[in-house]
Amino acid sequence: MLFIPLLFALPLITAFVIPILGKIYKPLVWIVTTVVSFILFIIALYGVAVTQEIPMSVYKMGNWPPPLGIVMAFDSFSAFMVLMISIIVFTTSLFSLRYLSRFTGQWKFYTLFMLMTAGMMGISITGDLFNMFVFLEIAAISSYALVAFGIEGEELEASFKYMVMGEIGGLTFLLAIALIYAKTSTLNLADISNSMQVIRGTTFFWMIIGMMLFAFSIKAGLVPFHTWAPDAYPAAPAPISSL
Amino acid sequence: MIVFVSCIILFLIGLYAIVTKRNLIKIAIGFAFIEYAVNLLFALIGFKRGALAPIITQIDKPHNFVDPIPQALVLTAIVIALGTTALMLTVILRIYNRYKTFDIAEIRKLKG
Repeated sequence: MLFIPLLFALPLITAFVIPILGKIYKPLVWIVTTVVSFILFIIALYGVAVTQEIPMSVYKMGNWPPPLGIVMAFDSFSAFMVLMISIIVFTTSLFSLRYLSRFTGQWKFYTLFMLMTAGMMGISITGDLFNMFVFLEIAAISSYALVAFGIEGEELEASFKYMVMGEIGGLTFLLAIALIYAKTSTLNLADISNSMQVIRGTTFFWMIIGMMLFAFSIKAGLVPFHTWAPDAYPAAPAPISSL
Repeated sequence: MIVFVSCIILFLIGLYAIVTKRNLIKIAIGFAFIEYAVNLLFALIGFKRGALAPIITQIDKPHNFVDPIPQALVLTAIVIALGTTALMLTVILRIYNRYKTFDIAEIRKLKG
């Protein structure tokens, strides 16, 4: 199942190639971004086709056996998420050319854009709790920077507000990971699901669930923690608001 | 037990700074507090009293090691925290150049 790590490795590599290309020849940056996101779309379609035959395919990073190494799990839900993300990324990069013509430093935009894509792809396919945190932070940090992309007063203020809210969420998630690791001694999501059956219903269990819910509701902008959303969306460049 | 509780207290001190302080730099310091609290808690989870550093020197001998995984995770978390803090300070500096103040009560062009 070689296509699974490609889903996040390809945008990650592209993100670091783009600054070099931006130095050589500026219009190349947009072409490369669009081509790479189209390739991602093709890979995602292939992944959907694979899940029709094999419902659950697992890729072991570095060929370590599952409880020890990091795994990438690809089932029908992550196939759906990956397909949605790749469609949005492809169309966004297609239409971002006109919008971005009034900004300088476009290659910076595309670098952050590809990093954010890599983070979101990683969240959808990872099978490891800490790896999920890392990808969450990759996506989050690049989106904070993208909200502040046009450096006017409003955009910086919206970015700071989003950063404060988002980081409280992210660090609460890290705290929940630490508590889960203390209880189950594993980070593999499937293993955790088995181990959690033992402590189900205890106060500790509900505390972890509450922390996770708090962290993800900040990230998603659910109602008590939504105050960053109405400022961040208009401040961000329009192609990013769609993500 | 008392060390874990003091980690949580450190976390709450940071959260208090973020929620109540009006100076942008103090908010950034509050984040540093929270990051240290979480990293310290993570490192303490893998700690065992009287255990060795997790380096295998003799293969066939049973070892009493501290858990190496939280240490590796904390290293990664420190790097992420560094990135976030750097970005946050950059944004604070840019805000200062625009508004000529660090006070969040005076920086309110937005409605939300």
